[in-house]
Amino acid sequence: MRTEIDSGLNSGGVIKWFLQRITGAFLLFGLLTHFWVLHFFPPEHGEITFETVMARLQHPLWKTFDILFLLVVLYHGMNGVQIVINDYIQKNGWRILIVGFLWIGGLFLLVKGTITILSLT
Amino acid sequence: MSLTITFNFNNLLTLTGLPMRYKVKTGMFAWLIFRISGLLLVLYLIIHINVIGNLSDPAQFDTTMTTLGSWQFRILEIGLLAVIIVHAMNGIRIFIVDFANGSLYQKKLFWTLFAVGAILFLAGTYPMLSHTLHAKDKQANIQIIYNDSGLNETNIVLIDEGDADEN
Repeated sequence: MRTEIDSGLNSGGVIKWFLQRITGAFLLFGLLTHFWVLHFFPPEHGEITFETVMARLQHPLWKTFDILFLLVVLYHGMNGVQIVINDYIQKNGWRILIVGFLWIGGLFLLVKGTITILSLT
Repeated sequence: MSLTITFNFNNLLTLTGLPMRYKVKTGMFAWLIFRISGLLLVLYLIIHINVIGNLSDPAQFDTTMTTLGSWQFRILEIGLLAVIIVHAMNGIRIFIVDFANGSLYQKKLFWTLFAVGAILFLAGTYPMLSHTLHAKDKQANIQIIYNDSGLNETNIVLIDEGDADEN
């Protein structure tokens, strides 16, 4: 059993803890908006067509919302996975390695999503 | 860089000599399904971002949409709705527990949100199911037509009605 001493000088993760709840609340409304905008706006069409999606995505407001939403979703998701990893891997070396992969994956998804949103015409 | 004391309780034995185990009750059950649903949603997110990222031209869009409109995928979508609701309801519970002294009534919270979630799930599944059944019908629409002379020469034609349907 390893024993180490906690100097107690860091925040203990309180910012992440707080942000996880705040982003969760934001996602609740953001997801509803995302779903509503996709399926019920503009009104009276049941299926999603290329034209309607493109038309909506031209508007800078929706582009901004979508990118912001993607950012918040990725933060909440990756932070959540990091919590799970911290619960099961305590050894510093492996934990840092796997969380590093998580960072890379998250950044990759962010870049791919942002490029998708920005480059659709 | 901070150092942390960690004690490993996993191998402690009780007085009877059997390993310690938790009895799964409301709170632990909520935690368990919250964690599982969270991981499943991250998986879905990865798939979703990659699928949406491939929709650059109209032809690709149409083929992807047709695949996603098949009844198998619509069943999966209903499953997705269930996972989202489980995670959202538990998330609300955690929010209330963390910020509004909810631990005093955490069991009541769990069952209330469970009921709310069940209602939301049923409300959401009903239109999704009707779309699923519609999609299942669409895939094989057989029409028997006769030629001009009225003789019983029959042609069997598979018709896809297209996606521009309304309820």
